[in-house]
Amino acid sequence: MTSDDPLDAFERAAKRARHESLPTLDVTAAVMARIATRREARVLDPRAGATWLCLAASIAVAAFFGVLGAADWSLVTDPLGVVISTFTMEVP
Amino acid sequence: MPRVDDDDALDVQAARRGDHDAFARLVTRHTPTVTRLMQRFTREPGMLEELVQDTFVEVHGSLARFRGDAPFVHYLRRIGTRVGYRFWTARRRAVGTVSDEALVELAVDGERGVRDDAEWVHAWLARLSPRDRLVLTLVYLEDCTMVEAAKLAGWSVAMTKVQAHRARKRLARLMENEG
Repeated sequence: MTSDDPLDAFERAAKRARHESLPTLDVTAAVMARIATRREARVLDPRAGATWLCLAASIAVAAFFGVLGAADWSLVTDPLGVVISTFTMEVP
Repeated sequence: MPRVDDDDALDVQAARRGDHDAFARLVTRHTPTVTRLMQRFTREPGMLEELVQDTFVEVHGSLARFRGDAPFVHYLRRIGTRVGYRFWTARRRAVGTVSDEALVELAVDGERGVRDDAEWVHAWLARLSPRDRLVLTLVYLEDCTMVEAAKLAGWSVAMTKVQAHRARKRLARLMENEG
């Protein structure tokens, strides 16, 4: 049975295509391996923890000097600059 | 009475507590469902397997957000749809296409096998934008109602209806011009 309307032909083909046979996949081992790799990458990345630690320390120092009214912000910004450049520095 | 399938509910709870065997059981149980869905997004066997894996890895990462008020398989299909749509947008028009010659070869309606039908349908859908392709895939190939398609796509029902209407018109125009 054919029709002049291309959309009708498309709908008929799509209905038949719904019943296309499936390939048999066994992905369980691969998925679990990928999940384990991601978990290890999160746990073992020392830079992630160190970055947060430095950020928290910087904020604490800034707050300390801010509370004391110390105007010499170079005491805060200079070490912060060193920390930031350490983590953003390109390793040759 | 629990609303989600009992086995899934138990395994999801255990997987959230870090039980990897429970998540492995979920993966094994739902691989055919996810494979069928992801087959709508790619015709490449290698890429199909990768998309199925991507879906499960993403599900694992967002398991904490599964509220459990609907079957786990709905959640799985929603994430699978997101993974597939992202794949299309990343490789727009480059995936699942067949050549114009192949389209002509497959064009005789009623003389094709199921696999050829699927190739032919995918070839036309691959010529649409990812949004048009997604809504027509869900409606025609996944046999979704507008409400189901809206949930899977993460759109409003009204927007899904408008998108489907426009996508149908664009597909018809394309088929008339190129078919």
